[in-house]
Amino acid sequence: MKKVVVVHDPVEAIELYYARGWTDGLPVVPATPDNVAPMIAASGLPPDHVLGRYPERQRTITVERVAVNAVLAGCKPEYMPVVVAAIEALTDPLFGVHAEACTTGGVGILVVVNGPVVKQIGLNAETVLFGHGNRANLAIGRTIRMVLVNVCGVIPGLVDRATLAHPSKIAFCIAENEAVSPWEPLHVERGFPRDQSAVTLFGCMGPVQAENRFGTTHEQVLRTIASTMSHSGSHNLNWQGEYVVVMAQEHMQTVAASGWSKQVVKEFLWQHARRRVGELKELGVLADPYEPGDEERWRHAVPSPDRITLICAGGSAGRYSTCLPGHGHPGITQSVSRLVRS
Amino acid sequence: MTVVRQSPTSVGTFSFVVLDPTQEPDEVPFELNPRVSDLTGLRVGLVDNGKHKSKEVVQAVADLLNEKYRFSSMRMWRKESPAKAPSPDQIAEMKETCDVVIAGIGD
Repeated sequence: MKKVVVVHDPVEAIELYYARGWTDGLPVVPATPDNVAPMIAASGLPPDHVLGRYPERQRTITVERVAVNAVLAGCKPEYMPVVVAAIEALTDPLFGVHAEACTTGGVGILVVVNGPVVKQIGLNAETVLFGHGNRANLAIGRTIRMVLVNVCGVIPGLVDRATLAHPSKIAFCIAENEAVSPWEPLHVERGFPRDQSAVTLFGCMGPVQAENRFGTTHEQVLRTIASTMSHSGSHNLNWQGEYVVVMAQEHMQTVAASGWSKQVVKEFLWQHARRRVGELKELGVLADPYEPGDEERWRHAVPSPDRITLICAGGSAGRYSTCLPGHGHPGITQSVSRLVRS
Repeated sequence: MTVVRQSPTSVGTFSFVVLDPTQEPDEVPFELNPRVSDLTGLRVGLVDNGKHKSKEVVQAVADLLNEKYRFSSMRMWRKESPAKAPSPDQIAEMKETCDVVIAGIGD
């Protein structure tokens, strides 16, 4: 453990962390040997256990380093198994952490949590889903950013070159509302047993909300979502990454009443989330020169339906869904799931 | 260890240790290859980082240099991701077939 001695005052400790550049811009909980030890113990792993590597930054990420930053972020010890799984997913080579951490595109690291751990540690899957108020959501999401900044040296403006970014770069963790969803939850789709817990990480741009208040059919709701997915400034139209669609309960109920399976919903979204190639070239969204026939050709927001992830979460009132564009083709980044060790 | 300051209002002595959350890079042995003194007649590798027009920019740089130095060969590799190094296989091929490699970074 690397140590600094602070004399007398906890507020002084908070200011020390600011002065050293060890925060995300918000005050942190000062880490001490006494509050880090329970974090390490709760992980069930030795402190020097390597959770992953970030080779482009020449960093080896251990349990102890993550535990220190989890304290800073406000985690409780019982959050550590989720944090550990998230760091393992983050450092999977398929995730491509360096692109996600540094891009001008301003990617946030979305953590979706499934399984029994959601209730066990009090994660929020409902109202104010992406916002403030829930310690587990915010502290777990914040830990990812703190590890990137402090352990991996991804300093804003220096290594992280996001042009604009979005508030979700601070903390971006949600749970799926498996109790109300008519479809199989995300972790089951990814091959985990329903009674086990898992995290799935996505590199995503900021949420773009899709509002449809007066449509009464599943097609009306889904066509609105598809249109939101394929707005002309959407990253996906150029880079063909994954897409995460989070459907809140009212929209989900309208769509579920159709009897459509999750796969059929994804296929419908893929089919309708598209724009004419000619328009996109005229706007300069696509770089290639105009070719005859472009006015008839389509560019889909995702290359195939299986690149769409559909999650049921959010409040029970309000006819909204939200669309989170991914970042890049599979050679750049892929979403990664990991088991949460109990 | 660094003592930050002593509060002028403190009563008695009280201190606690807080932890540095950062980490230094792993120590990775690194040695620069010797620099070439003359580009004339060399075998040149070019790396397209996958971004738009990367290939054309790198090729243009190589073509300008080639006018003066008359390279014996030029070969382009395209990376899978702008944010990742060339693959081990690509690097092995470059080591085998090139004397120098031209790469660039840009968005």
